[in-house]
Amino acid sequence: MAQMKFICDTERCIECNGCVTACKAEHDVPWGVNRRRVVTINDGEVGAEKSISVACMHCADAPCMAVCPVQCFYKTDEGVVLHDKDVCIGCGYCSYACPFGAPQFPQSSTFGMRGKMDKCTFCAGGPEENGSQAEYEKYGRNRLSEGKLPACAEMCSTKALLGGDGDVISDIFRNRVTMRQANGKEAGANLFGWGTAYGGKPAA
Amino acid sequence: MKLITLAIATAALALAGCSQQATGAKPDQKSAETANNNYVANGDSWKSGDKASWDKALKQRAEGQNDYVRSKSL
Repeated sequence: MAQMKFICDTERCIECNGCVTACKAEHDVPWGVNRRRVVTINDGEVGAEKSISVACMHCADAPCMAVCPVQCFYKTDEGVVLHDKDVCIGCGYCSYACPFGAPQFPQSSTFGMRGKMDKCTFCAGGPEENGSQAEYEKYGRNRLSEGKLPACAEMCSTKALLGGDGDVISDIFRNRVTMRQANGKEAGANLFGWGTAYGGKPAA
Repeated sequence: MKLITLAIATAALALAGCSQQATGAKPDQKSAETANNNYVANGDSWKSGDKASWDKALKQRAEGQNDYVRSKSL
């Protein structure tokens, strides 16, 4: 069974923000909310400047789901973490729990309240009829039920951002890393993955 | 008497509110069920509700992100 995931290849990301724009346009995301954003580190350092596109990572053991007091989150058969805006109370616990800063709040409600939480849906909509107007207005387009993949990944000009079945996209990424190593560039463990997380190479 | 009845009714209502459980999210349709709009892609390669054919169509689409496969087909 397909388990949907995103991978961002830091060697390819050129900080064009095409993914951010594609997401905003596809889902008509309100002003002030960014479901996806590009983070850049080591600005201006030649060879060390790296960018990565970040959104909800649809965690296997999602901390947002664990802390939600009204249980508005649910997970689809494909591993996509979604939420029900009719149940969300806008408490913001999920935004404190999420290590990626994925949950966003429109901040447009009266009395300075946060409003209902909004986040990346992996272009899978929410608990309304697939492709309906109600779903679009609350969660944006449901591209998965249209037989498509997330707009951000499909629009990525350098294919730095890969989205889809975890097995397929990790194969694509592995192939790239192997090619880089074959071409004499040290890669693999030092790219997004083991090296980034643990600061070294995985044991052989 | 009326006052006591009113007090009991108010207390019962208040307690009912306190014991309300979080109901959680509404049940969602499966992703393999075709969207109710005109934007469905490759509609002939998968059938609505058929998870296996939908999975296959999406895997095929995901493969489209592989530059190495795409460059070979040029």
